[in-house]
Amino acid sequence: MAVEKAATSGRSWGLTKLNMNAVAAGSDAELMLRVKEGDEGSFGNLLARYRDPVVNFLYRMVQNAAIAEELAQDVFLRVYRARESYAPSAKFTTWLYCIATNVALNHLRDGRMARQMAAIDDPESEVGRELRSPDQNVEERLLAQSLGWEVRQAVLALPGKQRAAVLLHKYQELDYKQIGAALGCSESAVKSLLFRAYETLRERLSHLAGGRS
Amino acid sequence: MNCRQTELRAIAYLDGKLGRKAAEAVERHLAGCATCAEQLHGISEVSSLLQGWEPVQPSASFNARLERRILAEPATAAAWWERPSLWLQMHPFGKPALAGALLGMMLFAVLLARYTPGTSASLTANLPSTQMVATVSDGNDDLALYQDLPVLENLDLLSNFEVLQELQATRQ
Repeated sequence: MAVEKAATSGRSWGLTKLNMNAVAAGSDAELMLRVKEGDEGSFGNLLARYRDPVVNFLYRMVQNAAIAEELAQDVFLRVYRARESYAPSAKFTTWLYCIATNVALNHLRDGRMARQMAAIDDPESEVGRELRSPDQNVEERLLAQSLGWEVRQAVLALPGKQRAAVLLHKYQELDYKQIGAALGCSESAVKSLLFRAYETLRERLSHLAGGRS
Repeated sequence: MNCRQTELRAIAYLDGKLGRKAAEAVERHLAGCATCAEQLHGISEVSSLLQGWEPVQPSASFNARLERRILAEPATAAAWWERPSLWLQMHPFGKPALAGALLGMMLFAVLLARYTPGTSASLTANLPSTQMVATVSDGNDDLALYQDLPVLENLDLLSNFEVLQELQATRQ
């Protein structure tokens, strides 16, 4: 077994040096099939492609950067564990976000959310993590912080499944069929779920949207 | 197209993923329904607001931590019953030899049980049978016989004792 060999020989997988040219390394399914055959480098390529999107999806789900990273580690570990049973019957991204969604929803269901609420990244630290426009003055920056905070709170207030649907649709750009596969519902149910979620956001953020228009 | 049908198509319409005919049907409904038109306009604005949510950058230690967890995986993930035993790993013949040996042992045990005489008797040896109860009963009789031995030894003398016979005749 490749991992056992690596563990016993003390050999590194080289995940710390991501292959940023992973796009040229083959399709996701091809890479995953190579991982199945014991190719460690292909797992690094998949990680290079999907680490940031998965971390950000989970971050927007739980709104705590440290927890999001831990959950993302679980997601990639599950992908690795499932390598031997992997069959390219569906798109890799569908499978990946199905795992990520389940990990996030399980986390929310576990009740850890209540304890986490107090530790949600506050606007100050949050904005510190985001890219700042050098052209913004103090007033504009404060306004952007306030706006961002309200948007995040509105998303956080959505039920878990609606939140996942909006995030997969808006940021991960999955199609309705893929979102349905990740959430375990039909394509028409996804459309209905998305409409309800966006409608709820519209009601909660109407004062912001009006101010912008 | 009614309001409910428009709701189901609203997101796909805003995404530009409706076919031409379906999109035109939505637009016709929106032209005549202020509520739906307002909803879709608001949703479009919300979508723009969400666009401003900047991504975060994972910490520099993310990959190193994941690598450590993956390398530790076989030791922590596989339960003891999932792992091949140490004996199997060390044995030069591997699994086929073990399977053959087990089969041979089972066959030998079946043949031994089938052809060993008195197997059934030995199996029931500890059970109290009627024969055993009778033997115990006989043993008790023997014990009583030994206890009465002095009387029995004089049985002939007593049965032919003339004085006793005369005594019986006197009673009659």
